[in-house]
Amino acid sequence: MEEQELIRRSQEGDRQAFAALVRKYQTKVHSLAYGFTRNDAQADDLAQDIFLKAWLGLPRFEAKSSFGTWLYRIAVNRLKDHLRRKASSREVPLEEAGLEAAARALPADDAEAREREQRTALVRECLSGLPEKFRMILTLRDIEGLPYGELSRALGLSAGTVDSRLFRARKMLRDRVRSRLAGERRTP
Amino acid sequence: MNCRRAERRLLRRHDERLSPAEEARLGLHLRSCPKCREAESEYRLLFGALSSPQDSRPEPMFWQRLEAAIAESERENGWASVRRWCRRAVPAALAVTAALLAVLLLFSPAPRTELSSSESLLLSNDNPLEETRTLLEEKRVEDRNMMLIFASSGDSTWPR
Repeated sequence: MEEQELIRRSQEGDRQAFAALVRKYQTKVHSLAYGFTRNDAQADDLAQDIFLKAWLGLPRFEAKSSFGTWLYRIAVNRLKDHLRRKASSREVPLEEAGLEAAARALPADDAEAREREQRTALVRECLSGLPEKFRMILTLRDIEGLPYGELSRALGLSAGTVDSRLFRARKMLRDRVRSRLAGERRTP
Repeated sequence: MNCRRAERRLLRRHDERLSPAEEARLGLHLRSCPKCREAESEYRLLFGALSSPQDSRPEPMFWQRLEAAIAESERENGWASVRRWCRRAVPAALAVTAALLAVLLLFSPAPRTELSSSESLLLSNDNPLEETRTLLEEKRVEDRNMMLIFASSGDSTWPR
């Protein structure tokens, strides 16, 4: 069934049609939430909440943007809210998501894969330490791969602001990764 | 081209938003600038790390749990609607009752009150002075006395 038809039927209260939409987007939404929590259970709770908000908001959805963009917008707002609530506490203990976990998960002889995983863990850890607005735009663009137009609509920003914010976010992430690596080299 | 501009263009190239002319200028700069080549390789590693697949997937029975949450939320919303309706309905009902009472008070007929004899005379448009004069001008004493007796008893049906 076409997505438009699924949306129309969901707006009329057809839960099975909505279930089809959920199946289509649940991995993306979960992955987005996981990018912020680094915790499957929390990401799952957030994804549930995002879809629940989408269901309740569906009667007001006017198809001015695509359903995916609209859903991302709901997700962005929910995740911002989540980050604000958690702002004072560190979301992910280093042991859980950092280098040690990545190293433990891999066989010792696979040195290249091990290094790649360690680097990925380090980059994601540095990402989780960025200010919310930079973390959000990087997650949507460089992890989720949203096109510029969709990114602009999901965040409610002009194309120029998206461009400059993305530049600053990437530069900031690069600087943090560099300084972390430099710190690790100093203390082996 | 300075290094800051080159860094911007590196990132625009990653997003495939660079014109061929800009790309050529960036290439020239990169050939001559080791610092920007280092930045290029760092960004490549960064994007590689960010785009690597995450080992995460939704927990089992995602839809079933969501459907239960939807049902629960709709039940709560139903009660919330009733409560909202009640909150609006109670003041409205009070306002309507007050308005009805005001209308009743304004338009209900005034209670009947007993009139005094002089009020009755005035309202029935009788002239007590004229009546008295007629009575006193009566020539025959018997008639005058009879008229006085009837007048004092309040009977106005005395034949004149």
